[in-house]
Amino acid sequence: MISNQKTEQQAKPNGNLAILGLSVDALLAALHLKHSALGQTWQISVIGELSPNKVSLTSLCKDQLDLLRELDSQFDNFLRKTKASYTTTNKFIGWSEQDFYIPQQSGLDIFHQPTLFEISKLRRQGYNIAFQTEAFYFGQVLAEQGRFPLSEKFPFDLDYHCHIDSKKLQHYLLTLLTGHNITLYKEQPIAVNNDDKGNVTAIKTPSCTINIDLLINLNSKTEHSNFSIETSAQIKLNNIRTNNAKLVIATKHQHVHHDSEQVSANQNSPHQTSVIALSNGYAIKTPSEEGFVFHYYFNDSRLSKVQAETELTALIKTHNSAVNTLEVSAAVCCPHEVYISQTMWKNNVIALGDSYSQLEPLNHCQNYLSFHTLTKIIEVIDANAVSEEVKKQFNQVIQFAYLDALTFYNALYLFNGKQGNDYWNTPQDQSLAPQLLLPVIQQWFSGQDIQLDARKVFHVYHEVTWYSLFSGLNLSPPAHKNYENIEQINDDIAQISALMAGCALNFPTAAALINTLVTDAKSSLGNNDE
Amino acid sequence: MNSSKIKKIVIVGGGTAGWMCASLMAKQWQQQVEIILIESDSIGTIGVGEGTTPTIKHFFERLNISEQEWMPQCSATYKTGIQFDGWSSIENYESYFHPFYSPLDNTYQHEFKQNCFLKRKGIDVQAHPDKFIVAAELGKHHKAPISPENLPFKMTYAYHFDAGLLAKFLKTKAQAWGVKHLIGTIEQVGKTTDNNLSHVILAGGEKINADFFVDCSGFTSLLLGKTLEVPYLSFSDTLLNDAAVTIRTTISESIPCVTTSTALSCGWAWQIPLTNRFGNGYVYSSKHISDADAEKELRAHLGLAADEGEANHLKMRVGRFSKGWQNNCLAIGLAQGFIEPLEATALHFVSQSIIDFVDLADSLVFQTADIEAYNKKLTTRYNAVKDYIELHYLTNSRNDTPYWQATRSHKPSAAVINILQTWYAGEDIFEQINASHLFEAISWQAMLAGVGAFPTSDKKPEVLPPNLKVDMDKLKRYIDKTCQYFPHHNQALSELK
Repeated sequence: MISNQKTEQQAKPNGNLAILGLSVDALLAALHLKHSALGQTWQISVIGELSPNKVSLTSLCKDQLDLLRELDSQFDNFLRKTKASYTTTNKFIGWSEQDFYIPQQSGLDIFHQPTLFEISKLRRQGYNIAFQTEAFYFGQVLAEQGRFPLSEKFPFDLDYHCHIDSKKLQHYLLTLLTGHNITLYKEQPIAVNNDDKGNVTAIKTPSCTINIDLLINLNSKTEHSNFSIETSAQIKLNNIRTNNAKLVIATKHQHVHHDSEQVSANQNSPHQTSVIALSNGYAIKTPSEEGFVFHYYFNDSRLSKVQAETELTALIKTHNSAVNTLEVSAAVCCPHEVYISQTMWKNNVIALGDSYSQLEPLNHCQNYLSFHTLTKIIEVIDANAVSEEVKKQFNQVIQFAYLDALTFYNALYLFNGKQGNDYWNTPQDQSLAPQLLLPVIQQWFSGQDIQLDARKVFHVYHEVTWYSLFSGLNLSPPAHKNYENIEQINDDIAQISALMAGCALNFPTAAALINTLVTDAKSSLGNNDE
Repeated sequence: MNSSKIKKIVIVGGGTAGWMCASLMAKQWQQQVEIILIESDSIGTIGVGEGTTPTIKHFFERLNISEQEWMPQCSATYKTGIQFDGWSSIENYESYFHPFYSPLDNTYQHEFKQNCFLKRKGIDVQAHPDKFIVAAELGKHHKAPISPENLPFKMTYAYHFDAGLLAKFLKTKAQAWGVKHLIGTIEQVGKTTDNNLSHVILAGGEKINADFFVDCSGFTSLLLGKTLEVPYLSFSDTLLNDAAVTIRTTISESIPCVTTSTALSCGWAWQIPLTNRFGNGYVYSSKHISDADAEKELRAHLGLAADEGEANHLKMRVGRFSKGWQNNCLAIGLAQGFIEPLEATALHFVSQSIIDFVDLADSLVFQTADIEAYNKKLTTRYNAVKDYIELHYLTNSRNDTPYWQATRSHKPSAAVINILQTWYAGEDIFEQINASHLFEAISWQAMLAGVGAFPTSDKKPEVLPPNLKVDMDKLKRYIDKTCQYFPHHNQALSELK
């Protein structure tokens, strides 16, 4: 009891909050904090040195984009200038017999989900019903029609990702930082002061000492390896997922990426990210205004870097036959180890971003997790009720969220449809399915509705996404009987399609957007002439 | 009970109910049955109901008549719901909108339900229905509930129309579809020994035989009540209003698409917009106010001088016959029953009663079991509507006149007591209210929340942590953005022509 009281006294209504790291994630976190109620009373500083970005394109989730829009009315102009690109659906190629989609969600989709769930249930009961899960997603419609997911007037939420040049984004955020009363120390910390309870009290840089009440560590694991802030031991991810160290999908995953400027963006579906299963990993093909960027995440114990580059080059060629030569020299290779940590919040140090976890980059869920984790941190601090018990509960909730996301990836590997390849066949052993996945599998295969544990407040992947995944992986029994009211179902699907087609009119096509820009430019020139 | 095929139907009464009945039967059975409608030229029609519920759309769909065809001919307008003014004296709940819910409202239905729940638990949250419902905003801005191309949601709406013009319109249709129209006053009704109706005799002596009769004779209930002597069940113990006075006024330049129901001293006043006029009326309890004073109060409410506009006084018999279908006689409209028009249900009963009948007797043959099923359904419908209307009075918080106090003085039905107890206990009323009810659970919730029927306490309301609050700004943006595309009511009406 006494110790609790003492701990609660640590929570202050205000104080010095330092963010360690100068990555895009760290800068976003600083702005997020400053924009919150917390930012009005706490002094926020960012400490670190600029280091090269691991990836040339940074993907931001809708919430992060909205935050930046609130902070800067010119943010959309920045996106235009930097030729940012968008994703409203994710196509999984080669993971199953047929390619499938996991689109981003929209508020519009909730109208169709009861129909989707009902049809899925009938399909799993063996009825012969032809339907595509993605047809129930508005994000898919926008992607197929090549419409930008930006509309001032559309009343429903629409989730999407935006892909921005990492370097330009970092510079933009740094500028934004200074305009929002956030103190920037562009120096690498050299030492840290702790009190007898283990709290960090100050950070020393070559030029100054910064007093700390709360530290948010956003230095990546590798970046701070020579620096003495370690929040906790990391969970051995492969053990969590499979209990089998031989399932080395993620261990020492290497990451090759390539900016292929020569590859033109597909004008018919520019707002789609593709996740392409390759021999020993997968490539992510992200749209950009000047082409596509390819990242190959592979298992380097099975494939050398040279082999990975060769495979990626071959893949790029298949995606645009007009390309004969590629500048492979631009390729970079860096470690992409998948991990999460035991504890996010310990004493007065919070590990966030890479400092806490690095997940599979599928669906860009790390951005979503980071944003909402920080929102929860703000809520806890703002409530002025930080105690060891609160931190313990917080850590459990957050860890569940990350494990929940990992469970989704586990399912993807567990039910992948590839054959004759050790890399893909090893994780297909169903006895290795993690505990969190079991109820979902049980619900699906017994023909029930998928219902996630509502007590867990932080699901990254909601029920409907599981339908997309399992349907996409073709996990339904063979259809062997006709459904009596098939016409009604077809009518329902047609109505949904018509509704979404109408709603899509609220979003500009690429051509319309270009026309607008040209008109604006002409108008601007005309004004200058005057 | 004769279960042989119906070959000839006589409809008694040429008001709105009579012609609605004639047109749908003629459309349904084409030339398979002879249909004769007998209308007296000496008995006027009441023309009850200028406001409707969304179910009336099904009626026009069954007739395959487009809005473009019938609406302009009936001075019809669109209706998004009913604005209730002055029914509550609780601060911030003096006015609320009972909307027709459309799929667009699903987006925030959960939040509305959640806040109603929290409010009943003494937590300070926004729970006024107008803040959550698209139709309320459409009504506020006189926007028609017609889906724009870029937001093609199926909207739920009803109509206002001139009931007399509708009868005239349907008369033309019905006659074109083969209905014979006879002018004459029925002097005698003939019965068989097994208490079936056999014929009617007109004033001139003409005898008309039929094997099925439809009683649309209004409050007279010539066939069902007077001839077959089906018992009448009065609702006067719970619903006090038994009279009305009506006055027409000039329509405003911008035509509203809502019915307004304003609580007055001894009842309530309606205002219904048509394309060419407002229909106004004051429904009141004659035990609490005289006809003359009621007219005076209505005139004052409308800002009319004593000589402005012609007032029409009506007496209402509120209740129903214990059966709507007895042997070979079906009663439709006022001849079947009447509940005061607070929720515009009169024509709902008419259209649904006809539709239920033609669906049951689709092959023109029916059994005793069909009649029983029909009557059971009708009874359920009456009880449900009566309960819902009754709740308006039970939850009103006015104490300014003996009338309003009297409206709360009776013992409600068990169903109403159950709903009120559930509501005030902070439990879920959605599970109690049958999904097939005319007024869905969300309507009951809107009404209860709309009048501010929340438990009171001396304690200061608890404040919800910001992260748990419904983002009302975001909700407002959603509703504003949604409504911006909908056409102005005048524009939508002009596009019908």
